[in-house]
Amino acid sequence: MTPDPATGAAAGRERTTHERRDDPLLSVENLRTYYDERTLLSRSPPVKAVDGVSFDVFEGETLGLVGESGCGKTTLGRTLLGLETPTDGTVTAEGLDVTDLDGSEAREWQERVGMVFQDPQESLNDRQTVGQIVREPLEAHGWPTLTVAVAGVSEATVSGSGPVTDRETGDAVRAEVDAADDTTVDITVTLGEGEPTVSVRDRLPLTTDDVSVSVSRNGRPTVSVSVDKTVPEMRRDRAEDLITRVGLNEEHVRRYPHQFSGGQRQRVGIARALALEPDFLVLDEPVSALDVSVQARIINLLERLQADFGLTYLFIAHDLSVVRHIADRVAVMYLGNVVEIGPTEQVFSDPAHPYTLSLLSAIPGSGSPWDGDRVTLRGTPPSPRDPPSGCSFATRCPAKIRSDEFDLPEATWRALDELRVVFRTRARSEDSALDQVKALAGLTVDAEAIDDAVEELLGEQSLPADARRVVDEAVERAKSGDDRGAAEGLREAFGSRCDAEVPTSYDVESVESRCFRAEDDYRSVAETIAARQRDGTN
Amino acid sequence: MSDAEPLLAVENLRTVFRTEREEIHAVDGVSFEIDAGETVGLVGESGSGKSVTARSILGLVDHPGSIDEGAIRFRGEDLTDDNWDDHRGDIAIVFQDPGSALNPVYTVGNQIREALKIHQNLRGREARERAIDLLEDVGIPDAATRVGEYPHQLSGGMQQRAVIAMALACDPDLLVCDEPTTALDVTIQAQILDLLADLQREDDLAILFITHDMGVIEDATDRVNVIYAGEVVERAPTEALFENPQHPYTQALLRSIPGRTPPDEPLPTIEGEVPTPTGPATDCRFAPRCPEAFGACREVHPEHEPVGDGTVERTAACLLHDDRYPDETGLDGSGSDGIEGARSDGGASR
Repeated sequence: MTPDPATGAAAGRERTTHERRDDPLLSVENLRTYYDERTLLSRSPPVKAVDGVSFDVFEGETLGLVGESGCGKTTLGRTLLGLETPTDGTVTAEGLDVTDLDGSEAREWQERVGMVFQDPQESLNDRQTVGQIVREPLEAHGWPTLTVAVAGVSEATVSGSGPVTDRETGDAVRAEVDAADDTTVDITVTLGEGEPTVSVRDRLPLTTDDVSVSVSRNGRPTVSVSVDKTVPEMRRDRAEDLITRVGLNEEHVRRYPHQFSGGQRQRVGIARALALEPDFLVLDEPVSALDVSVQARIINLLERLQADFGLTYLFIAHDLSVVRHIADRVAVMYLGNVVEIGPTEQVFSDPAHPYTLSLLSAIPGSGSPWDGDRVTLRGTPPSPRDPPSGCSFATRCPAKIRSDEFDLPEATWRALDELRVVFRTRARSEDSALDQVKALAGLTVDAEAIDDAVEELLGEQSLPADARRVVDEAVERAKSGDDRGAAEGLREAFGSRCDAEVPTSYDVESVESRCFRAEDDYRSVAETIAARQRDGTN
Repeated sequence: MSDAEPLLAVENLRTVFRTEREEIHAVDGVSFEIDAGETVGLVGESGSGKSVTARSILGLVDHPGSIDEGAIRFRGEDLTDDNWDDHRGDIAIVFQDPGSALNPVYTVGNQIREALKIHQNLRGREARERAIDLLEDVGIPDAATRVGEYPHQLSGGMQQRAVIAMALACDPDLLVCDEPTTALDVTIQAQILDLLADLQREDDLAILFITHDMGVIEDATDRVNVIYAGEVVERAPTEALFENPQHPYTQALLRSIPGRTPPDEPLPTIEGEVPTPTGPATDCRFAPRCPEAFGACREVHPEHEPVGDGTVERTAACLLHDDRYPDETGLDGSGSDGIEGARSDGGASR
């Protein structure tokens, strides 16, 4: 897409003309966003917030994005909107990589997308009235830029004049050009035998009475269009329209955010996000801070706005019941990766990835679709600075594939996994400068602490002699200060494919899952977890 | 409930906030009991008086608020006779907003160690290790590093975990949890709920669990009090409440949870807002939003009446359950057409 230099109008917005569902609105390819905050005193590796993510977002759908805090959901959403610069990979919309735009192209993309934040209290400026908040994006983008199309003749010259009140640009309303097919036309002038007829796009705060047209027909017709409504008037009307559309009243326009309840504030945030008529909204936990009954109303509002305006949503949430209600498809994120993506009902009723299953089983109350025992994941996700080498979920996985080398009870396997996490965590803390100094002074190697950890984890397990030997070696290495080596030794001896290889994406019916258990040789995730729970080892 | 004296008995508690303009009856005649080792839920929307109830129990109601009436008996001793200081370590609270519960100028470890010093007399290395243990217990990764960080270096979720660790540091008998898991992920929430359940089993800890999350109430509590506009409107054993809610407010609240409605249907909502109680209750405060309200609801203040089939002890404050007021036709059969309905036709553009 090339922007028309004459109008500066985006040559996008094709939702009215092409409603093909299989057209991705956005294609995310191998996206990586790292935060590198290395300083002189810390040699911590970068935070891999988004680490190789690929998926499509289809026009008109709601894609749910779930995962624990810190898994990279918000960073992913922000990267899609161009609010963060990716380290690698592309986000393609209509053939254009939107992560690599500058100048007017970047501005156009910003007009096509919007974001609604979790906390309406923090994201609204308390010194602005609701009207000012909603008008702000209009002012920042010099809205409106009106596009005029002329119908009924093969060619025409268009000139336009509008109320010139915008001091910065001086020409806030421009009116030119025959519209290309994929441009949103604001004013259409149809030339026929008699007087020209004028129509105005519905969503504009203009009526045909506000538009005067004069035509001179000497040879090539020249159409002059002028709008008899000032830019501030149009912006004010647009803001009022948005405010009523999100369920507030016109009298709310002059009030301040602190005079509103949480739900009302979130409505203001939604109105602001819609100001520039975006196609795509990233909704970052939009209802998480709200009460259930208020939450239900905001969800209904979002669904209605989506139907009215043909919006596409990326709905980020940690509340899986909400996602189940609102999303057409759902992507499950863990440690910077999308581990499972598919149609919502399929993912909820038959999760393919063990992380998805664990998340679903953790839904409190009767909202959980998992009818087995709750799978309580141990610990927290590993640090995104130092993700595990194989599958990112292997350190906590309740369905991890076990090595063939040893035949151990599940509880012992888990204890060994845990011990490795202990060494890995210790190794990571050595990265800070202070710990380096302490290590040099011989302070960090705390033999007693290591013995305690081993005793606590493996005290009740009877290990076969060969396994015991491996553990003892690792403990010796840790005591000599080599925690990383200790973890590595355990991984080599007890690790499986899950620790060595990064799973690629497997198709499981209509779902994509990044888990080796999708292969035919393995028992399925749900069966494995159920069997391990039966053995009383969960 | 056992015949023995409950650990905590809140009796007809009224906490009123007086400003020049108005008088807000934030907690208006709330009564409930908690036994040792039991988890009692207090569930309601924001503005219902849940948090003020919690602060009242802890003696943390500041000017212009005051406890006007009622008693808060801890082991039989009325705390409202200014006895809070005698029970500082016995009752701990986990607040809704971790940002305000943590002091920004001290490290997380420092603040936990302070609590350990005051309540358990632990110092030095011992205190540091216990602090790290507590942080690990609440699911903070790399606790040994985090113990030296300042609150602003932790995410909101991590801050809340640190607050829970701090509350546990004083080894309380009663833990008042005010939306403790609202900021946490489901998996961490599950861990915290497990952790609270473990603590309860080991130490016979009693928990007052305040939340708006019905799912958490269902999992974590033994008995529930549903609070609306400063008043408890329904109380029941948890299982019975979810099986068969009796008060129209409870019913509406449960219906509005996603997951009970097919995805292609709009969620049932409760129109209007929770009213601010500015005077003593003379009618049912839910009546203006209630789909089943009838004439008397606007004139009579409903009292708690036994409801259900009589197998469990449960009550609801609703005239539908009061034999003196036979069911009459609703005030407004069509229901009020609130903002949502009025706007639903507003989008016929493009």
